[in-house]
Amino acid sequence: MKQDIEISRRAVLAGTVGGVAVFTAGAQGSSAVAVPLGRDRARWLTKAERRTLRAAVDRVVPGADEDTVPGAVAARCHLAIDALLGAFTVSPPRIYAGGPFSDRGGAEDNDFAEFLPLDRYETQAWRVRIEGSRGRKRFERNGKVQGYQRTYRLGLAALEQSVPGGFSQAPAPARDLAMRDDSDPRIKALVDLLVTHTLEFMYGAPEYGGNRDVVGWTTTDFEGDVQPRGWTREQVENPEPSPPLDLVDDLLGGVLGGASAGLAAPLVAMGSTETLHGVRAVAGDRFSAVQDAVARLAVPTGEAATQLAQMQRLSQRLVDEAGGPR
Amino acid sequence: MGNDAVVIGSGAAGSVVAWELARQGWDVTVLERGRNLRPGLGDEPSGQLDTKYGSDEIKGFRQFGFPDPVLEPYTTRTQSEAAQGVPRSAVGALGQLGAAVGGTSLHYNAKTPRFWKQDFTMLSDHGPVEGAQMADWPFGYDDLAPYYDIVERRVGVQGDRDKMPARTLEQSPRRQQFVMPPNPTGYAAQLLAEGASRMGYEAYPYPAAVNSERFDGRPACNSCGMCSGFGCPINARGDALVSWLNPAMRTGRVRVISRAFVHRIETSADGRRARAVHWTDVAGRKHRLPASTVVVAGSPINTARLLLLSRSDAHPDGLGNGSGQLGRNMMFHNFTQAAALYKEDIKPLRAQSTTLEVDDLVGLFTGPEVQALGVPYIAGGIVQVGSGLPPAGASQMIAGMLGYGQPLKQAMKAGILHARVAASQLIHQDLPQADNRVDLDPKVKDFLGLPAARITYSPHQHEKAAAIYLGARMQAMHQLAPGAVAAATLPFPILNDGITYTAHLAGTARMGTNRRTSVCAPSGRLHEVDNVYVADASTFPTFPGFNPTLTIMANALRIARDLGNGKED
Ligand SMILES: Cc1cc2nc3c(=O)[nH]c(=O)nc-3n(C[C@H](O)[C@H](O)[C@H](O)COP(=O)(O)OP(=O)(O)OC[C@H]3O[C@@H](n4cnc5c(N)ncnc54)[C@H](O)[C@@H]3O)c2cc1C
Ligand code: SF4
Repeated sequence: MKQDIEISRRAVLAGTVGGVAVFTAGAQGSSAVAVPLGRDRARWLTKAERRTLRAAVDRVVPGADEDTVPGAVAARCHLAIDALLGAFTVSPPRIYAGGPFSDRGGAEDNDFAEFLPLDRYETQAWRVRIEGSRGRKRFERNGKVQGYQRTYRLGLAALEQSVPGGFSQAPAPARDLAMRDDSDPRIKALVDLLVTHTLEFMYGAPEYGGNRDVVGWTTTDFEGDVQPRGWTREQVENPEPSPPLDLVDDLLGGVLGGASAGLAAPLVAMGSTETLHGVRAVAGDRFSAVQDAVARLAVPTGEAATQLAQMQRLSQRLVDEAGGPR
Repeated sequence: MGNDAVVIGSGAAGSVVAWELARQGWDVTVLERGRNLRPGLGDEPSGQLDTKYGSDEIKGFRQFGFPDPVLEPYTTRTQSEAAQGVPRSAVGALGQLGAAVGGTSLHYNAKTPRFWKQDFTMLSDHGPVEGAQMADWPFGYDDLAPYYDIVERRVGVQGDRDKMPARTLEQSPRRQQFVMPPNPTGYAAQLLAEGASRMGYEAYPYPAAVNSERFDGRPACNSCGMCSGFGCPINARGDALVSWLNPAMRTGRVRVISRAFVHRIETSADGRRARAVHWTDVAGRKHRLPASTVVVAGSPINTARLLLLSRSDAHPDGLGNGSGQLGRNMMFHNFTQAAALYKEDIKPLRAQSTTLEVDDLVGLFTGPEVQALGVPYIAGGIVQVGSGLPPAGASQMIAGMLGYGQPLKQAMKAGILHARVAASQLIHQDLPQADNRVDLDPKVKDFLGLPAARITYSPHQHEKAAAIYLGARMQAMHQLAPGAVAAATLPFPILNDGITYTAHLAGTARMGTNRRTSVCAPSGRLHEVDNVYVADASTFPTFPGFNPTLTIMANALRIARDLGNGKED
C-alpha cells in the first residue's frame, strides 16, 4: 500500500550516508513495513499523578455537570497528555499522526491512527522537548532545556500539595484558584503547558488520544476533517441555513463587551491562521506567553492605542457614508 | 561555464531552478535541510505521489515540515532594541519558513496573484521615502510576464480573467484566460463580498494554484477547508515539489540530498569563484561538494545567513557583501486582519482557504488624508476574503484572550472563530529599510553549533500609516457585510513594533545594476563572485502587497533560463 515516508533500502544502497537520504530517479520505490499502533496507549505518569492531571484538565474545559456538554475529562485529555509524555515508549513515537486520511471523511482505513516514524532530526527535537537536554552539550548550547516530563512531574506534585486535602479531591472553585496562583514556579510552568496541551487534545484529531468520540467537535459546530469526501459546490456555496445562536449575543454582551462599534471585540479578528501562527511562533506552547501575545494585540497601549482610535474614527465615518450597517 | 550546479534549498525558487537547468541539460544537485514528506518522490509521476499530510491541526503545532525552534532557533529584536544595544528579545520560531523537500510551498495555500506594473518602478514614479531605501526593479512587468505565463501553466492556476476589474488587467495584463475556472466561492466570502461592494470594492476569484478540475494527473480540490498551513491531503495544489522538482528529478539529471545543512560556500583564494559547498548531516558529519555553479535559494533569512557564514579573507563581511547591503532591506508582509461575526453558522471552513480577493486597497493612495498621516503615499495590498480558523487553533486564541475554563468553553460552543466568523487579511507592502536586517547572532547557535540568524525589524512609518488608512477600510467593509453582528480589525503594523508572523519574506540580497547599492546583478549573480547566484525573494528590491510565490517562481525561472543560456549581465 503506502510507502513509508523514510527512504527505502534501495535508496540506502544508492547512496544514503548516515541519516542523509539521497533521492535520485529510480532509487526508491519499495514499501516499508508499517508498525501498527497497538491498542495500548503510551503511559508515563504514575496513577496518582494522572489523578491530579485529570482534576486539572477538568478546569481547562469543565465538564457536563456545569453546562450539559462534555469537557476535557470526558474527552480524555489527561490520557492524551500522558501518552505524549510517554511518546517514546512506543514505536513509532506518538508525535505525528499518519496521513492523508482518517476514516471520518469516507476513507476505509484510518491513516491517522498509524503514527509516522520520525527521522533522526525529529527524534532529537522531540526527545529534547519531552525528556529535556539532560546534560547533552549539543542541545545545551543556548541553555538547558527542561523537558515536558520534568515539568509535569514537578508541577503535578506541587499542585497536588497546594490544596489542603489534596488538589485532586478539592472542589472546582478551589482547583481554579490553585491553578491560577502563579507564586509557585513549578505550578506556573505546569499550567503553562497543560492548558495548551489540553486545548490541543480537546479540539484536535482524536487519534492523539483526546477528543474522545469527537466530543470536542460535535459540541462546537465543527464539522471535522472531511477528506477525502470534501464538500460539493452546493454545500460550499449554499450551505443549509442555520438558526441564529443566542449564545453569540450573550458572549458579545458579556465576555466580549458590547457589539456597538464592533471594536470591543478584537478577538473576532483573531480567527485566521496568520494570527494563530504568529502567536504560536512567539509563545511556543506556553499558555501565559500566548496570553501576553494576545493581550498585546487586543489591548494596545500608548501610541498604538491612539493610532487604533484614529483608525476606528475613520472607519466609522466610512460606514456612515455608506449608509450604515444593514 | 560548467553544465552542473548545486542548488541550496528545494522550495519554490530552488525547485524551479533545478527544473529549468535540467531542462537545459544540466546536472543538478539540490541540498535541502528538510526531510521528504512525499513518498515516491523522483520515482512516481506527481499525480501518484503519496503524502503524509492530513487535515490534522496538531501536526502543524508540532512543526511538521518546519525547522524545530529548539534545534534551529532564530533570534529577533526591534530597531529600538538594537539601538539600545539589546542583543535579542526573543529566541525561537518567529520568522521561520518551512524545511522540507519542496520547501514551504508544501504548506502554502497557493494563492498566486501577479505583481502589478507600478510595483517595478516605485522609486522613479514616486520618489524617495525618508527612512526607506526605495528602488526600482532592474526590469519591468513586461519582462516578467512571459515567465508568469509559463509558471501559471505549469503549476495550474485557477481564476477568471473576465471577472477581474479593468484596473487590475491594466496593471497586470494577461494574454490568456486562466488555466482553469475558479473553485466554488465560500459562503462567508460571498457575505463579505457584499460588504466590499457597499464600499465600492469589487471582489473577484482569487488566482490560486489549486486544481478546480483534474490537472497534471492530480485531482480537483474538494473545498475541505483545512487548507492554509496544511499540506493538501489529496494533492490538489500545484507547488514546488509536484510541479517542478519531481518532474525535474524524473529526467534523471537532478538529485536531492535531504537533511543536508549547508553552512559555507567555499571560494578560490581571490574570492572570485565558488569552488565547493560545505554541509553537515544531521549526525554532525561534515561534507564537501565541489561545485562549478552555486544557486542559493534558502529564502531570504537563510540565504542571508548562509552568505554571512561564508565570509573569508576575500569576503570579510560575508560572501558578496562589498556593498554592505547583504542582510539589509529585510522585508516582511505585515497583515491587517479583519473579521465579521455572525449569529448563524456561515461555514467559513467549507471552502478552499480563500476564494475571493479584493484589490481595491492596493493603491497607491495619495492626497491630503494620506499626507496628514505623515507619508507621501500609501502603497497597500490585496485582501484575502472570507476565512476561519479550525478549532484547536481557535481555542488557543480564545483562551489567550478570555482565559481558560467556562468562558473558553462557551466561546468554543458558539464557534466564534470557526463557524460564525468571516475573516480577511490585507497583505501590506513593506518598505525596504537599511536597519531591518539579518545578521549572525553573537551568541545563540543551532544544534550544529553555527550562529543563528538574528533578525532586527520594525515597521516603517509608512506601514503604520497604511494600517490606519487601510485598516479603517477593512473595518468598514466587514461592518457592512450583511447580517454581521460585530466586526473587528487588528492592524498589525500599529499593534506590534517587531515582526509579526508572516510567511512572506523578501530582501536581504537585493538585485540592481549598481554594485555599491545592491548585492546581486539583475541576473541574480553576486556582483563579486562569478558563479554564485541568488534565486529566491532575497533578490526583490521592494515587496509589493501580494502573495509572493508566483513571482518568486517567475523570477527564479528568469534567472535560471538566462544562466542556462549563458546570458551575460
Ligand atoms: C501557511 C502558509 C501559507 C502560505 N500561503 C501562501 C500563498 O497562498 N501564496 C503565496 O504566494 N505564498 C504563500 N506562502 C509563502 C510561500 O510558502 C513562500 O513564499 C515560498 O515557499 C518561498 O519560496 P522559497 O523557495 O524562497 O523558500 P522555501 O519554500 O521556504 O524553500 C527554501 C528551502 O531551503 C531550505 N534551506 C534553507 N537554508 C538552507 C541551508 N542552509 N541548507 C539546506 N537547505 C536550506 C529550507 O529548508 C527550505 O526547504 C505561505 C506560507 C505558509 C507557511
Ligand atoms: S481546500 Fe482544496 S486545496 Fe486546500 S487542502 Fe483542501 S482539497 Fe487541498
